[in-house]
Amino acid sequence: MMERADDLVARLRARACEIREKTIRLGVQSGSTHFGGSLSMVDVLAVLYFHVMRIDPARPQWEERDRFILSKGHGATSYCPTLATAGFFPDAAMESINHLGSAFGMHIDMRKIPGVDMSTGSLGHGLPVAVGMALADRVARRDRRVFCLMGDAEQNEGSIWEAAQAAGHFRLGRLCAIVDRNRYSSEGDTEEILAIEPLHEKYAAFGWDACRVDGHDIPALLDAFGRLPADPARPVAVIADTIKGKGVSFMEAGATWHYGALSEEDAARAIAEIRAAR
Amino acid sequence: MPYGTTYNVDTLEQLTSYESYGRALVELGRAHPEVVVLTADLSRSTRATDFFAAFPERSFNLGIAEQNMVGAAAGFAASGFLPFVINIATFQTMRSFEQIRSDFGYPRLKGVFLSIWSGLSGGYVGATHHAIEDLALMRLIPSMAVLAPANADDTAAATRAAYDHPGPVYLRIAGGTSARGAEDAPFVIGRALVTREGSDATIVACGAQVVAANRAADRLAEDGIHARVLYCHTVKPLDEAAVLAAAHETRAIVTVEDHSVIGGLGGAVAETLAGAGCATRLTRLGVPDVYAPIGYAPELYAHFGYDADGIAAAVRRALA
Repeated sequence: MMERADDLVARLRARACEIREKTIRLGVQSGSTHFGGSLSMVDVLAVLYFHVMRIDPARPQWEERDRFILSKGHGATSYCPTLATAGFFPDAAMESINHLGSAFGMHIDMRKIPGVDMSTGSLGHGLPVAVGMALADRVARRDRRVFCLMGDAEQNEGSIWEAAQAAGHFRLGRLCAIVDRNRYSSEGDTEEILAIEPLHEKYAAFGWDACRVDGHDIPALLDAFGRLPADPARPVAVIADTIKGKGVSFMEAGATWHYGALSEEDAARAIAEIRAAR
Repeated sequence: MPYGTTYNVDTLEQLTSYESYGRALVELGRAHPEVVVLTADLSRSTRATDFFAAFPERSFNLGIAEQNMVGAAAGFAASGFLPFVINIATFQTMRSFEQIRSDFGYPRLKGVFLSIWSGLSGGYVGATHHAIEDLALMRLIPSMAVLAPANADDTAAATRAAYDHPGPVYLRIAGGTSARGAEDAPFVIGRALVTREGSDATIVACGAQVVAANRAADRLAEDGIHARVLYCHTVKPLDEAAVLAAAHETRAIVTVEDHSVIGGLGGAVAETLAGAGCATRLTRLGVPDVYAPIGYAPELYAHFGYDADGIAAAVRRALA
Protein backbone atom coordinates (compact mmCIF):
# COMPACT_ATOMS: atom_id res chain seq x y z
CA MET A 1 0.00 0.00 0.00
CA MET A 2 1.27 3.47 -0.82
CA GLU A 3 2.34 5.53 2.14
CA ARG A 4 0.21 8.64 2.51
CA ALA A 5 2.11 11.84 1.75
CA ASP A 6 1.61 13.22 5.25
CA ASP A 7 2.79 9.99 6.83
CA LEU A 8 5.85 9.95 4.60
CA VAL A 9 6.82 13.49 5.58
CA ALA A 10 6.27 12.74 9.26
CA ARG A 11 8.34 9.57 9.00
CA LEU A 12 11.22 11.39 7.28
CA ARG A 13 11.11 14.23 9.82
CA ALA A 14 11.36 11.68 12.61
CA ARG A 15 14.32 10.04 10.89
CA ALA A 16 16.02 13.41 10.52
CA CYS A 17 15.59 14.09 14.24
CA GLU A 18 16.93 10.66 15.08
CA ILE A 19 20.00 11.27 12.87
CA ARG A 20 20.57 14.73 14.37
CA GLU A 21 20.53 13.30 17.88
CA LYS A 22 22.99 10.57 16.89
CA THR A 23 25.15 13.22 15.22
CA ILE A 24 25.44 15.11 18.50
CA ARG A 25 26.25 11.91 20.38
CA LEU A 26 28.87 10.81 17.83
CA GLY A 27 30.35 14.31 17.79
CA VAL A 28 30.72 14.27 21.56
CA GLN A 29 32.35 10.85 21.36
CA SER A 30 34.74 12.21 18.71
CA GLY A 31 35.88 15.01 20.99
CA SER A 32 35.52 17.66 18.33
CA THR A 33 34.06 17.48 14.86
CA HIS A 34 32.34 19.27 11.96
CA PHE A 35 28.99 19.80 13.66
CA GLY A 36 27.72 22.65 11.48
CA GLY A 37 28.04 21.04 8.06
CA SER A 38 26.97 17.64 9.39
CA LEU A 39 23.71 19.01 10.80
CA SER A 40 22.91 21.14 7.74
CA MET A 41 22.69 18.13 5.40
CA VAL A 42 20.61 15.80 7.58
CA ASP A 43 17.23 16.44 5.93
CA VAL A 44 18.71 15.77 2.49
CA LEU A 45 20.21 12.51 3.78
CA ALA A 46 16.93 11.46 5.41
CA VAL A 47 14.97 12.00 2.19
CA LEU A 48 17.57 10.16 0.08
CA TYR A 49 18.25 7.22 2.37
CA PHE A 50 14.73 6.64 3.67
CA HIS A 51 12.72 7.25 0.54
CA VAL A 52 14.43 8.18 -2.72
CA MET A 53 17.40 5.86 -3.15
CA ARG A 54 17.24 2.23 -4.20
CA ILE A 55 19.36 0.55 -1.54
CA ASP A 56 19.37 -2.64 0.48
CA PRO A 57 21.31 -2.25 3.74
CA ALA A 58 21.46 -6.06 4.03
CA ARG A 59 23.42 -6.09 0.74
CA PRO A 60 25.72 -3.06 0.75
CA GLN A 61 27.47 -4.28 -2.43
CA TRP A 62 24.21 -4.97 -4.33
CA GLU A 63 25.02 -4.21 -7.98
CA GLU A 64 21.74 -2.50 -8.78
CA ARG A 65 21.81 -0.07 -5.87
CA ASP A 66 21.83 3.66 -6.48
CA ARG A 67 25.24 5.12 -5.70
CA PHE A 68 25.87 7.91 -3.23
CA ILE A 69 29.10 9.86 -2.89
CA LEU A 70 29.61 12.18 0.04
CA SER A 71 32.03 14.58 -1.59
CA LYS A 72 32.04 16.66 1.60
CA GLY A 73 33.61 13.75 3.48
CA HIS A 74 33.79 15.83 6.65
CA GLY A 75 30.02 15.40 6.91
CA ALA A 76 30.76 11.91 8.27
CA THR A 77 29.40 12.84 11.69
CA SER A 78 25.84 12.77 10.35
CA TYR A 79 26.46 10.50 7.38
CA CYS A 80 27.67 7.52 9.41
CA PRO A 81 24.68 7.72 11.80
CA THR A 82 22.45 7.88 8.69
CA LEU A 83 23.94 4.62 7.42
CA ALA A 84 23.56 3.07 10.87
CA THR A 85 19.94 4.21 11.12
CA ALA A 86 19.28 2.74 7.67
CA GLY A 87 20.63 -0.58 8.94
CA PHE A 88 24.03 -0.89 7.27
CA PHE A 89 25.66 -1.48 10.68
CA PRO A 90 24.67 -1.13 14.34
CA ASP A 91 25.08 2.22 16.13
CA ALA A 92 27.49 0.50 18.51
CA ALA A 93 29.97 0.00 15.66
CA MET A 94 30.74 3.73 15.81
CA GLU A 95 31.77 3.67 19.47
CA SER A 96 35.43 3.11 18.57
CA ILE A 97 35.50 6.32 16.50
CA ASN A 98 38.93 7.93 16.08
CA HIS A 99 40.76 5.18 17.97
CA LEU A 100 43.48 3.02 16.44
CA GLY A 101 42.02 0.58 13.95
CA SER A 102 38.47 1.98 13.99
CA ALA A 103 36.54 2.01 10.72
CA PHE A 104 35.31 5.46 11.75
CA GLY A 105 37.30 8.67 11.80
CA MET A 106 36.83 12.21 10.61
CA HIS A 107 36.26 11.12 6.99
CA ILE A 108 34.91 7.98 5.34
CA ASP A 109 36.55 4.81 4.00
CA MET A 110 34.65 2.63 1.49
CA ARG A 111 36.76 -0.37 2.40
CA LYS A 112 35.81 -0.23 6.06
CA ILE A 113 32.31 1.23 6.39
CA PRO A 114 29.41 -0.77 4.88
CA GLY A 115 27.26 1.40 2.65
CA VAL A 116 30.00 3.87 1.71
CA ASP A 117 30.37 3.85 -2.08
CA MET A 118 33.53 6.00 -2.27
CA SER A 119 36.25 7.00 0.15
CA THR A 120 36.30 10.76 0.49
CA GLY A 121 37.80 13.52 2.58
CA SER A 122 39.68 15.76 0.18
CA LEU A 123 37.29 18.30 -1.33
CA GLY A 124 36.60 18.41 -5.05
CA HIS A 125 36.94 14.66 -5.58
CA GLY A 126 33.35 13.42 -5.42
CA LEU A 127 31.77 14.84 -8.56
CA PRO A 128 34.47 13.51 -10.94
CA VAL A 129 34.04 10.03 -9.45
CA ALA A 130 30.25 10.37 -9.79
CA VAL A 131 30.73 11.28 -13.46
CA GLY A 132 32.77 8.10 -13.95
CA MET A 133 30.12 5.99 -12.22
CA ALA A 134 27.38 7.46 -14.41
CA LEU A 135 29.47 6.83 -17.55
CA ALA A 136 30.16 3.28 -16.35
CA ASP A 137 26.45 2.67 -15.87
CA ARG A 138 25.85 3.84 -19.42
CA VAL A 139 28.45 1.39 -20.78
CA ALA A 140 27.02 -1.42 -18.63
CA ARG A 141 23.43 -0.40 -19.51
CA ARG A 142 22.46 -0.23 -15.84
CA ASP A 143 19.59 1.98 -14.72
CA ARG A 144 21.13 3.06 -11.42
CA ARG A 145 21.25 6.67 -10.40
CA VAL A 146 24.30 8.36 -8.93
CA PHE A 147 23.93 10.99 -6.21
CA CYS A 148 26.77 13.24 -5.13
CA LEU A 149 26.42 15.52 -2.12
CA MET A 150 28.90 18.38 -2.06
CA GLY A 151 29.65 21.26 0.22
CA ASP A 152 29.03 24.81 -0.91
CA ALA A 153 32.53 26.20 -0.32
CA GLU A 154 33.77 23.06 -2.07
CA GLN A 155 32.43 24.69 -5.23
CA ASN A 156 35.62 26.76 -5.17
CA GLU A 157 37.52 23.64 -6.33
CA GLY A 158 38.33 23.63 -10.04
CA SER A 159 37.89 19.88 -10.31
CA ILE A 160 34.15 20.32 -9.56
CA TRP A 161 33.81 22.46 -12.67
CA GLU A 162 35.80 20.03 -14.79
CA ALA A 163 33.29 17.39 -13.73
CA ALA A 164 30.36 19.76 -14.24
CA GLN A 165 31.51 20.31 -17.83
CA ALA A 166 31.83 16.56 -18.38
CA ALA A 167 28.40 15.73 -16.91
CA GLY A 168 26.76 18.31 -19.14
CA HIS A 169 28.74 17.30 -22.20
CA PHE A 170 28.08 13.57 -21.80
CA ARG A 171 24.41 14.24 -20.95
CA LEU A 172 24.49 12.20 -17.75
CA GLY A 173 20.78 12.25 -17.01
CA ARG A 174 21.09 9.70 -14.21
CA LEU A 175 23.49 11.86 -12.23
CA CYS A 176 22.25 14.13 -9.46
CA ALA A 177 24.51 16.61 -7.71
CA ILE A 178 23.36 18.21 -4.49
CA VAL A 179 25.02 21.25 -2.96
CA ASP A 180 24.54 21.71 0.77
CA ARG A 181 24.31 25.50 0.57
CA ASN A 182 24.79 26.33 4.24
CA ARG A 183 26.58 29.56 3.34
CA TYR A 184 29.61 29.23 5.57
CA SER A 185 32.99 27.60 5.16
CA SER A 186 35.58 27.12 7.85
CA GLU A 187 36.50 30.77 7.92
CA GLY A 188 33.32 32.64 7.17
CA ASP A 189 30.70 33.60 4.58
CA THR A 190 31.41 31.93 1.23
CA GLU A 191 30.47 35.12 -0.60
CA GLU A 192 33.11 37.09 1.28
CA ILE A 193 35.88 34.50 0.92
CA LEU A 194 35.49 33.39 -2.70
CA ALA A 195 31.98 33.93 -4.03
CA ILE A 196 30.23 30.93 -5.59
CA GLU A 197 26.90 32.50 -6.53
CA PRO A 198 24.89 32.49 -8.70
CA LEU A 199 25.28 28.76 -8.23
CA HIS A 200 22.24 27.25 -9.93
CA GLU A 201 22.74 29.57 -12.90
CA LYS A 202 26.29 28.29 -13.19
CA TYR A 203 25.18 24.66 -13.26
CA ALA A 204 22.45 25.56 -15.76
CA ALA A 205 25.07 27.21 -17.96
CA PHE A 206 27.07 23.96 -17.85
CA GLY A 207 24.11 22.05 -19.26
CA TRP A 208 22.48 20.89 -16.06
CA ASP A 209 18.83 20.92 -15.02
CA ALA A 210 19.38 23.04 -11.93
CA CYS A 211 16.93 23.91 -9.20
CA ARG A 212 17.04 25.58 -5.83
CA VAL A 213 15.14 24.24 -2.83
CA ASP A 214 14.86 24.77 0.89
CA GLY A 215 17.12 21.97 2.10
CA HIS A 216 15.12 21.53 5.29
CA ASP A 217 11.70 21.44 3.63
CA ILE A 218 11.01 17.73 3.28
CA PRO A 219 8.07 18.01 0.84
CA ALA A 220 10.19 20.34 -1.33
CA LEU A 221 13.11 17.88 -1.26
CA LEU A 222 10.74 15.03 -2.14
CA ASP A 223 9.55 17.05 -5.13
CA ALA A 224 13.12 17.86 -6.23
CA PHE A 225 14.33 14.27 -6.02
CA GLY A 226 11.03 12.68 -7.01
CA ARG A 227 11.35 13.73 -10.61
CA LEU A 228 14.66 11.95 -11.20
CA PRO A 229 15.70 11.28 -13.83
CA ALA A 230 13.91 14.37 -15.04
CA ASP A 231 15.48 14.62 -18.47
CA PRO A 232 17.51 11.66 -19.78
CA ALA A 233 19.94 14.07 -21.42
CA ARG A 234 20.59 16.45 -18.54
CA PRO A 235 22.18 15.90 -15.14
CA VAL A 236 20.30 17.41 -12.21
CA ALA A 237 21.75 19.89 -9.73
CA VAL A 238 19.82 20.50 -6.55
CA ILE A 239 21.06 23.54 -4.70
CA ALA A 240 19.74 22.92 -1.19
CA ASP A 241 19.63 26.13 0.82
CA THR A 242 20.36 25.07 4.36
CA ILE A 243 21.28 26.42 7.75
CA LYS A 244 24.66 25.47 9.10
CA GLY A 245 24.14 23.70 12.45
CA LYS A 246 20.41 23.23 11.72
CA GLY A 247 18.38 21.95 14.66
CA VAL A 248 20.55 23.32 17.47
CA SER A 249 19.82 26.99 18.15
CA PHE A 250 23.24 27.96 19.43
CA MET A 251 24.96 26.29 16.50
CA GLU A 252 22.76 27.70 13.76
CA ALA A 253 24.22 29.99 11.09
CA GLY A 254 27.70 31.44 11.08
CA ALA A 255 31.02 29.70 10.84
CA THR A 256 31.54 29.29 14.59
CA TRP A 257 30.35 25.68 14.65
CA HIS A 258 32.04 24.62 11.42
CA TYR A 259 34.28 22.59 13.68
CA GLY A 260 34.35 22.38 17.43
CA ALA A 261 33.83 20.47 20.64
CA LEU A 262 30.60 20.31 22.67
CA SER A 263 30.57 20.27 26.44
CA GLU A 264 28.39 17.61 28.09
CA GLU A 265 26.02 20.34 29.17
CA ASP A 266 25.69 21.88 25.70
CA ALA A 267 25.27 18.43 24.18
CA ALA A 268 22.35 17.80 26.53
CA ARG A 269 20.82 21.14 25.51
CA ALA A 270 21.30 20.30 21.85
CA ILE A 271 19.64 16.89 22.21
CA ALA A 272 16.74 18.40 24.17
CA GLU A 273 16.15 20.92 21.35
CA ILE A 274 16.32 18.24 18.68
CA ARG A 275 13.85 16.05 20.57
CA ALA A 276 11.49 18.96 21.14
CA ALA A 277 11.36 19.57 17.39
CA ARG A 278 10.18 16.03 16.72
CA MET B 1 71.87 -17.61 -12.54
CA PRO B 2 69.68 -17.06 -9.49
CA TYR B 3 68.22 -13.67 -10.29
CA GLY B 4 67.21 -13.46 -13.90
CA THR B 5 67.56 -14.52 -17.46
CA THR B 6 70.20 -13.18 -19.81
CA TYR B 7 68.80 -11.77 -23.01
CA ASN B 8 69.34 -9.29 -25.74
CA VAL B 9 67.34 -6.12 -26.29
CA ASP B 10 69.42 -4.60 -29.04
CA THR B 11 67.97 -6.01 -32.22
CA LEU B 12 66.30 -3.00 -33.70
CA GLU B 13 62.84 -3.27 -35.17
CA GLN B 14 60.71 -0.46 -36.54
CA LEU B 15 57.86 -0.78 -34.09
CA THR B 16 57.60 1.97 -31.52
CA SER B 17 56.62 1.38 -27.94
CA TYR B 18 53.57 3.56 -28.55
CA GLU B 19 52.35 1.36 -31.39
CA SER B 20 53.18 -1.68 -29.36
CA TYR B 21 51.11 -0.81 -26.29
CA GLY B 22 48.32 0.43 -28.56
CA ARG B 23 48.06 -3.01 -30.12
CA ALA B 24 48.27 -4.73 -26.73
CA LEU B 25 45.44 -2.56 -25.49
CA VAL B 26 43.21 -3.59 -28.38
CA GLU B 27 43.94 -7.25 -27.62
CA LEU B 28 43.00 -6.66 -23.98
CA GLY B 29 39.86 -4.83 -25.02
CA ARG B 30 38.84 -7.72 -27.24
CA ALA B 31 39.37 -10.30 -24.50
CA HIS B 32 38.03 -8.29 -21.57
CA PRO B 33 34.82 -6.28 -21.85
CA GLU B 34 35.57 -4.45 -18.58
CA VAL B 35 38.56 -2.61 -20.09
CA VAL B 36 37.85 1.07 -20.76
CA VAL B 37 40.25 3.76 -21.98
CA LEU B 38 40.24 7.41 -20.91
CA THR B 39 42.37 10.18 -22.34
CA ALA B 40 42.56 13.97 -21.98
CA ASP B 41 42.39 15.07 -25.62
CA LEU B 42 45.46 13.00 -26.43
CA SER B 43 44.15 9.88 -28.11
CA ARG B 44 46.13 10.61 -31.28
CA SER B 45 49.36 11.68 -29.59
CA THR B 46 49.24 8.66 -27.31
CA ARG B 47 48.27 6.19 -30.07
CA ALA B 48 45.17 5.22 -28.14
CA THR B 49 43.42 5.63 -31.49
CA ASP B 50 43.47 1.89 -32.20
CA PHE B 51 41.41 1.21 -29.09
CA PHE B 52 39.15 4.20 -29.80
CA ALA B 53 38.47 2.84 -33.29
CA ALA B 54 37.88 -0.74 -32.13
CA PHE B 55 35.77 0.03 -29.05
CA PRO B 56 34.21 3.48 -29.34
CA GLU B 57 31.63 2.76 -26.63
CA ARG B 58 34.44 2.06 -24.14
CA SER B 59 36.66 4.99 -25.15
CA PHE B 60 36.41 8.38 -23.53
CA ASN B 61 38.09 11.61 -24.43
CA LEU B 62 37.39 13.71 -21.34
CA GLY B 63 38.99 16.86 -22.63
CA ILE B 64 41.88 18.74 -21.09
CA ALA B 65 40.64 18.14 -17.56
CA GLU B 66 43.00 15.66 -15.94
CA GLN B 67 41.64 15.76 -12.40
CA ASN B 68 38.15 14.94 -13.61
CA MET B 69 39.52 12.24 -15.90
CA VAL B 70 41.29 10.40 -13.10
CA GLY B 71 38.35 10.84 -10.72
CA ALA B 72 36.01 9.52 -13.42
CA ALA B 73 38.39 6.60 -13.95
CA ALA B 74 37.99 5.82 -10.23
CA GLY B 75 34.22 5.89 -10.74
CA PHE B 76 34.65 3.29 -13.48
CA ALA B 77 36.92 1.22 -11.24
CA ALA B 78 34.36 1.35 -8.42
CA SER B 79 31.73 0.13 -10.89
CA GLY B 80 33.45 -3.05 -12.04
CA PHE B 81 35.49 -1.69 -14.95
CA LEU B 82 39.27 -1.59 -15.40
CA PRO B 83 40.26 1.88 -16.61
CA PHE B 84 43.44 2.47 -18.60
CA VAL B 85 44.18 6.18 -18.23
CA ILE B 86 46.49 7.52 -20.90
CA ASN B 87 48.21 10.87 -20.73
CA ILE B 88 51.47 12.76 -21.00
CA ALA B 89 53.58 11.76 -18.01
CA THR B 90 53.90 15.20 -16.42
CA PHE B 91 50.18 15.92 -16.45
CA GLN B 92 49.26 12.35 -15.56
CA THR B 93 51.34 12.24 -12.42
CA MET B 94 51.33 15.84 -11.26
CA ARG B 95 48.09 17.55 -12.25
CA SER B 96 46.07 14.60 -11.02
CA PHE B 97 48.46 13.21 -8.41
CA GLU B 98 45.99 13.61 -5.57
CA GLN B 99 43.27 11.82 -7.54
CA ILE B 100 45.63 8.91 -8.23
CA ARG B 101 46.60 8.86 -4.57
CA SER B 102 43.24 9.37 -2.88
CA ASP B 103 40.80 7.95 -5.46
CA PHE B 104 42.88 4.89 -6.46
CA GLY B 105 45.70 4.34 -3.96
CA TYR B 106 43.81 4.86 -0.73
CA PRO B 107 40.61 2.95 -1.62
CA ARG B 108 42.73 0.29 -3.39
CA LEU B 109 40.93 0.63 -6.70
CA LYS B 110 42.53 -0.87 -9.77
CA GLY B 111 43.57 1.36 -12.63
CA VAL B 112 46.43 1.43 -15.10
CA PHE B 113 48.12 4.76 -15.76
CA LEU B 114 49.96 4.77 -19.07
CA SER B 115 52.24 7.72 -19.66
CA ILE B 116 53.98 8.95 -22.76
CA TRP B 117 56.75 11.56 -23.04
CA SER B 118 58.66 10.11 -20.14
CA GLY B 119 61.81 11.79 -18.92
CA LEU B 120 63.40 14.12 -21.43
CA SER B 121 62.19 12.06 -24.39
CA GLY B 122 60.15 15.02 -25.63
CA GLY B 123 63.44 16.88 -26.03
CA TYR B 124 62.76 20.43 -27.17
CA VAL B 125 59.23 20.41 -25.70
CA GLY B 126 60.82 22.06 -22.71
CA ALA B 127 60.65 21.65 -18.96
CA THR B 128 56.85 21.89 -18.67
CA HIS B 129 56.62 18.67 -20.67
CA HIS B 130 59.67 16.85 -19.29
CA ALA B 131 58.67 14.16 -16.81
CA ILE B 132 61.56 13.83 -14.43
CA GLU B 133 59.45 13.32 -11.29
CA ASP B 134 56.89 10.69 -12.28
CA LEU B 135 58.70 7.59 -11.04
CA ALA B 136 59.36 9.21 -7.66
CA LEU B 137 55.75 10.35 -7.26
CA MET B 138 54.25 7.02 -8.26
CA ARG B 139 56.64 5.11 -5.97
CA LEU B 140 55.10 7.04 -3.08
CA ILE B 141 51.69 5.46 -3.53
CA PRO B 142 51.22 2.28 -1.50
CA SER B 143 50.42 -0.77 -3.66
CA MET B 144 51.28 1.04 -6.93
CA ALA B 145 53.48 -1.01 -9.26
CA VAL B 146 55.83 1.25 -11.24
CA LEU B 147 56.97 -0.07 -14.62
CA ALA B 148 59.48 1.36 -17.08
CA PRO B 149 59.97 -1.14 -19.91
CA ALA B 150 62.84 -0.64 -22.35
CA ASN B 151 61.37 -1.49 -25.70
CA ALA B 152 58.31 -2.13 -27.80
CA ASP B 153 57.88 -5.81 -26.98
CA ASP B 154 58.30 -5.27 -23.29
CA THR B 155 55.90 -2.35 -23.39
CA ALA B 156 53.27 -4.69 -24.84
CA ALA B 157 54.18 -7.32 -22.23
CA ALA B 158 53.99 -4.71 -19.48
CA THR B 159 50.55 -3.62 -20.70
CA ARG B 160 49.35 -7.23 -20.49
CA ALA B 161 51.03 -7.73 -17.09
CA ALA B 162 49.36 -4.55 -15.84
CA TYR B 163 45.98 -6.08 -16.64
CA ASP B 164 46.77 -9.18 -14.58
CA HIS B 165 48.41 -7.34 -11.67
CA PRO B 166 46.12 -7.16 -8.63
CA GLY B 167 46.79 -3.49 -7.77
CA PRO B 168 47.08 -0.16 -9.61
CA VAL B 169 49.93 0.15 -12.11
CA TYR B 170 51.93 3.07 -13.44
CA LEU B 171 53.41 2.26 -16.84
CA ARG B 172 55.95 4.63 -18.27
CA ILE B 173 56.28 4.30 -22.00
CA ALA B 174 59.63 5.31 -23.44
CA GLY B 175 59.32 7.39 -26.59
CA GLY B 176 60.61 6.65 -30.05
CA THR B 177 61.61 3.52 -31.89
CA SER B 178 63.33 1.14 -29.59
CA ALA B 179 64.95 -2.24 -29.41
CA ARG B 180 63.20 -5.53 -29.62
CA GLY B 181 63.00 -7.80 -26.58
CA ALA B 182 63.94 -11.41 -26.07
CA GLU B 183 61.74 -14.24 -27.15
CA ASP B 184 62.49 -16.42 -24.16
CA ALA B 185 62.47 -13.95 -21.25
CA PRO B 186 59.07 -13.62 -19.68
CA PHE B 187 58.08 -10.18 -18.41
CA VAL B 188 57.34 -10.67 -14.74
CA ILE B 189 56.52 -7.64 -12.61
CA GLY B 190 59.18 -7.32 -9.92
CA ARG B 191 61.81 -9.48 -11.63
CA ALA B 192 64.88 -7.79 -13.09
CA LEU B 193 66.66 -9.20 -16.14
CA VAL B 194 70.37 -9.37 -16.84
CA THR B 195 70.99 -8.15 -20.38
CA ARG B 196 74.82 -8.22 -20.14
CA GLU B 197 76.92 -10.44 -17.92
CA GLY B 198 79.79 -8.89 -16.02
CA SER B 199 81.71 -9.00 -12.77
CA ASP B 200 83.51 -5.65 -12.59
CA ALA B 201 80.61 -3.22 -12.23
CA THR B 202 76.84 -3.25 -12.66
CA ILE B 203 74.77 -0.78 -14.63
CA VAL B 204 71.20 -0.78 -13.30
CA ALA B 205 68.86 0.73 -15.87
CA CYS B 206 65.21 1.13 -16.75
CA GLY B 207 63.31 2.39 -19.77
CA ALA B 208 65.05 3.11 -23.06
CA GLN B 209 68.29 3.70 -21.14
CA VAL B 210 68.76 -0.08 -21.04
CA VAL B 211 69.74 0.12 -24.70
CA ALA B 212 72.33 2.81 -23.90
CA ALA B 213 73.55 0.76 -20.94
CA ASN B 214 74.08 -2.26 -23.18
CA ARG B 215 76.04 -0.17 -25.67
CA ALA B 216 78.16 1.21 -22.84
CA ALA B 217 78.83 -2.34 -21.60
CA ASP B 218 79.89 -3.41 -25.09
CA ARG B 219 82.33 -0.48 -25.37
CA LEU B 220 83.74 -1.19 -21.91
CA ALA B 221 84.19 -4.85 -22.84
CA GLU B 222 86.47 -3.81 -25.68
CA ASP B 223 88.76 -2.37 -22.99
CA GLY B 224 88.50 -5.45 -20.83
CA ILE B 225 85.99 -3.98 -18.36
CA HIS B 226 83.10 -6.36 -17.83
CA ALA B 227 79.98 -4.49 -16.79
CA ARG B 228 76.82 -6.33 -15.94
CA VAL B 229 73.60 -4.68 -17.06
CA LEU B 230 70.61 -5.21 -14.82
CA TYR B 231 67.37 -4.22 -16.50
CA CYS B 232 64.89 -3.17 -13.82
CA HIS B 233 61.71 -2.74 -15.85
CA THR B 234 59.94 -2.75 -12.49
CA VAL B 235 61.07 0.23 -10.42
CA LYS B 236 58.57 -0.77 -7.73
CA PRO B 237 58.58 -3.36 -6.31
CA LEU B 238 62.30 -3.31 -7.01
CA ASP B 239 64.04 -6.66 -7.47
CA GLU B 240 66.13 -6.12 -4.36
CA ALA B 241 67.70 -9.57 -4.50
CA ALA B 242 69.10 -8.88 -7.97
CA VAL B 243 70.39 -5.45 -6.89
CA LEU B 244 72.05 -6.82 -3.76
CA ALA B 245 73.56 -9.74 -5.69
CA ALA B 246 75.07 -7.21 -8.10
CA ALA B 247 76.38 -5.18 -5.18
CA HIS B 248 78.06 -8.25 -3.73
CA GLU B 249 79.37 -9.67 -6.98
CA THR B 250 80.62 -6.48 -8.67
CA ARG B 251 82.65 -3.54 -7.38
CA ALA B 252 80.45 -0.59 -8.34
CA ILE B 253 76.82 0.18 -9.15
CA VAL B 254 75.80 2.81 -11.70
CA THR B 255 72.09 3.53 -12.03
CA VAL B 256 70.71 5.05 -15.24
CA GLU B 257 67.27 6.50 -15.78
CA ASP B 258 65.59 9.23 -17.81
CA HIS B 259 64.38 10.90 -14.59
CA SER B 260 65.63 12.99 -11.72
CA VAL B 261 68.38 11.27 -9.77
CA ILE B 262 66.15 11.86 -6.73
CA GLY B 263 63.47 9.34 -5.87
CA GLY B 264 63.34 7.15 -8.98
CA LEU B 265 65.35 4.05 -9.85
CA GLY B 266 68.58 5.51 -8.42
CA GLY B 267 66.76 6.45 -5.24
CA ALA B 268 65.24 2.98 -4.92
CA VAL B 269 68.63 1.32 -5.44
CA ALA B 270 70.26 3.68 -2.90
CA GLU B 271 67.58 2.83 -0.33
CA THR B 272 68.08 -0.88 -0.96
CA LEU B 273 71.88 -0.74 -0.68
CA ALA B 274 71.86 1.46 2.42
CA GLY B 275 69.18 -0.63 4.08
CA ALA B 276 71.25 -3.78 3.60
CA GLY B 277 74.36 -2.08 4.98
CA CYS B 278 76.02 -2.46 1.61
CA ALA B 279 79.06 -0.25 1.01
CA THR B 280 79.37 -0.81 -2.73
CA ARG B 281 80.01 2.49 -4.48
CA LEU B 282 76.87 3.94 -6.08
CA THR B 283 76.72 6.46 -8.93
CA ARG B 284 73.30 7.75 -9.96
CA LEU B 285 72.96 8.95 -13.56
CA GLY B 286 69.94 10.88 -14.74
CA VAL B 287 68.80 14.47 -14.55
CA PRO B 288 70.57 16.21 -11.68
CA ASP B 289 68.50 18.48 -9.46
CA VAL B 290 67.76 20.98 -12.25
CA TYR B 291 65.30 21.58 -15.10
CA ALA B 292 66.66 20.55 -18.45
CA PRO B 293 67.42 23.03 -21.25
CA ILE B 294 65.92 22.84 -24.76
CA GLY B 295 67.49 20.29 -27.04
CA TYR B 296 66.84 17.10 -28.97
CA ALA B 297 66.55 14.16 -26.59
CA PRO B 298 69.89 12.52 -27.57
CA GLU B 299 71.61 15.89 -27.05
CA LEU B 300 70.05 16.18 -23.61
CA TYR B 301 71.10 12.65 -22.64
CA ALA B 302 74.67 13.47 -23.67
CA HIS B 303 74.46 16.84 -21.88
CA PHE B 304 73.56 15.16 -18.61
CA GLY B 305 75.94 12.25 -19.18
CA TYR B 306 73.56 9.34 -19.49
CA ASP B 307 73.94 8.38 -23.12
CA ALA B 308 76.13 5.34 -23.86
CA ASP B 309 79.35 7.39 -23.70
CA GLY B 310 78.36 9.03 -20.44
CA ILE B 311 77.42 5.72 -18.86
CA ALA B 312 80.73 4.12 -19.93
CA ALA B 313 82.64 7.09 -18.51
CA ALA B 314 80.76 6.85 -15.23
CA VAL B 315 81.64 3.15 -14.93
CA ARG B 316 85.31 3.90 -15.57
CA ARG B 317 85.27 6.63 -12.91
CA ALA B 318 83.59 4.36 -10.42
CA LEU B 319 86.20 1.67 -10.92
CA ALA B 320 89.18 4.05 -10.99
